[in-house]
Amino acid sequence: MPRLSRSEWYDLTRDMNWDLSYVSEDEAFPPVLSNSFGVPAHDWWVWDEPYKITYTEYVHNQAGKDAGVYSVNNVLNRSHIFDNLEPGWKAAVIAHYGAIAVAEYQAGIGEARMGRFGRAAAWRNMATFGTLDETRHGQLQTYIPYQALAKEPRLDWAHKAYHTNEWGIIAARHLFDDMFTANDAVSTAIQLTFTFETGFTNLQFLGMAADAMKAGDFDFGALIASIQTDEARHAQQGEPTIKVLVKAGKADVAQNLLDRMFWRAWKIFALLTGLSMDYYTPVENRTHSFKEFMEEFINKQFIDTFRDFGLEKPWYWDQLLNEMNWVHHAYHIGVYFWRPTVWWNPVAGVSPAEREWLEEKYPGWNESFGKYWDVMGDNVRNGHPELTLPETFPMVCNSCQVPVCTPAGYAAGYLDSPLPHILDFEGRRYTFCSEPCQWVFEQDPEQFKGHLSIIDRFLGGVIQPATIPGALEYMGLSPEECGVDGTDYAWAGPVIPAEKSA
Amino acid sequence: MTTQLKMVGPVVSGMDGALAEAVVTAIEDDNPDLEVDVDDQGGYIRVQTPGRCRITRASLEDALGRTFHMHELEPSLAGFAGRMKVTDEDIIWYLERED
Repeated sequence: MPRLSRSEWYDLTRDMNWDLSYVSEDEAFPPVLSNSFGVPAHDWWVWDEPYKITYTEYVHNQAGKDAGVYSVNNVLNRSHIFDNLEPGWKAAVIAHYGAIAVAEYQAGIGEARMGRFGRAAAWRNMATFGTLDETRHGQLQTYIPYQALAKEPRLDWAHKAYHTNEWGIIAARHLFDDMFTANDAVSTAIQLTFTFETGFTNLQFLGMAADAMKAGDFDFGALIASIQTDEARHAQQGEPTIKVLVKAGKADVAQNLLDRMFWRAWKIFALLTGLSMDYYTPVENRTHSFKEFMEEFINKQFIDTFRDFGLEKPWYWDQLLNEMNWVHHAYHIGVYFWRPTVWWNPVAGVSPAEREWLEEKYPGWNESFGKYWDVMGDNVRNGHPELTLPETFPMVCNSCQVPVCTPAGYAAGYLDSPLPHILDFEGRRYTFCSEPCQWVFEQDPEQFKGHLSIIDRFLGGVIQPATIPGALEYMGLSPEECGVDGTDYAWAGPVIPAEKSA
Repeated sequence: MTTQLKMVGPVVSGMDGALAEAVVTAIEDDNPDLEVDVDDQGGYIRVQTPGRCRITRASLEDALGRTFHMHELEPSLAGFAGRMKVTDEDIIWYLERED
């Protein structure tokens, strides 16, 4: 039987575009779900994915990928690998599963929306693969942590986290709802697949894979590297979508969508990946600093690509470069101090060897952020670890939902003012951590104005009783689940006996 | 304005060592006039050339010593720098903008 090569039949099997006659375009592709941004229906039909795959090839590849990940997991389950991981690495992994697993299923909703409401058949085809990809990622990242539940019960946050109002999850949900759960198909292609997946997921899924192999966690390394091979493919829905918009004279639409989501993604990755790479990963296993990974995957690889479509760096580029020096160091102090509010056990990561590494990667760290740790270390050594715990809550940004850290940025010499950015809008006062965060809000106030941050809820009487225990209960954290120091204060050195007996 | 060519090429997962090595060998064979930069991070291996990077099915088959279809690269292709063009016989990574 003669066989055609794939390229001879690919387009024919993929392109099922047709003109509508029984219903209007808006009925078949409602703007709220699809949003053509005014580009006529036929102009979308040139949409052509750069990364081509057939269903047969897809199934073959995915079966092989799953077999690889599950077989690594099966073998390693017997070797008690989880018991042997360093406390910091455990913090990184437990934080990852809670923040990512159910978000993958939600990304599947975004892919499925493009699979139905994408504006070209070729696109709907790629998005169908994307839907299956994200479902696989959700399944893998709930299945694998559950294998170690007997050793660490809080691995069930892989499933539980997004069903709580824990503050970090409120921040992640606010981002992901904006990006894909409640977004139209065209914006999703640019904001989820292009901005987020071509850009930022490389940090958490490839950067951390490199660290995982060095930390001896082959299970986690194999898992996240396998996931990223799916992302590399379905992320390619962004390029043809941008090309259609640019060709239609709507580069400004693509630029605006990118600028909004690029900043939002930065804030959440600084929180998750920033802490994992620069504080939680054992210092001897670190491949690069978070800043170096940002420079490799974002500032170079990602920026080169989107500039190639005729788009430009976001207007706040200098502010991004500025925050890359300090913001995740401030977040780390906050997460450590407020550790009862997270589902993993943060490690301080500031022993003498670690401080030396931080000073090398971030010159000036000891003189700025190191000073806060000096005080916390003194309190621990003097027998007063309770002084390293909070009695109140910080102000939270009404855009990224992460605590406002401008005073730390100011004290470290990176900001001109310690004050947050304030916006009074329709009788309500909003607080922002940065100018781009305020700008994101102002791009679509109707989308964001009704949302209450965790602190708005605390001060507004939603959280009862309005105490720290009341807030922890509201966040879904039982006393057994609240984070504690991951090394039992080993980083601070021994308690000073004289002080202890005094 | 700089006219230095930007680096492009695949980022392959370190899980399948034989395929990763074949990718490096094939890219060296398929881009004889370009310097091939290999950055092995363990978990991933970045293979790059300036401006344009081609890998062919024929070179991969030579390096692996078996038949190979381009789509079989996907389980190892964790990312890439530049834009990508795929045919039955090769993959090209490239960037057009020079500034």
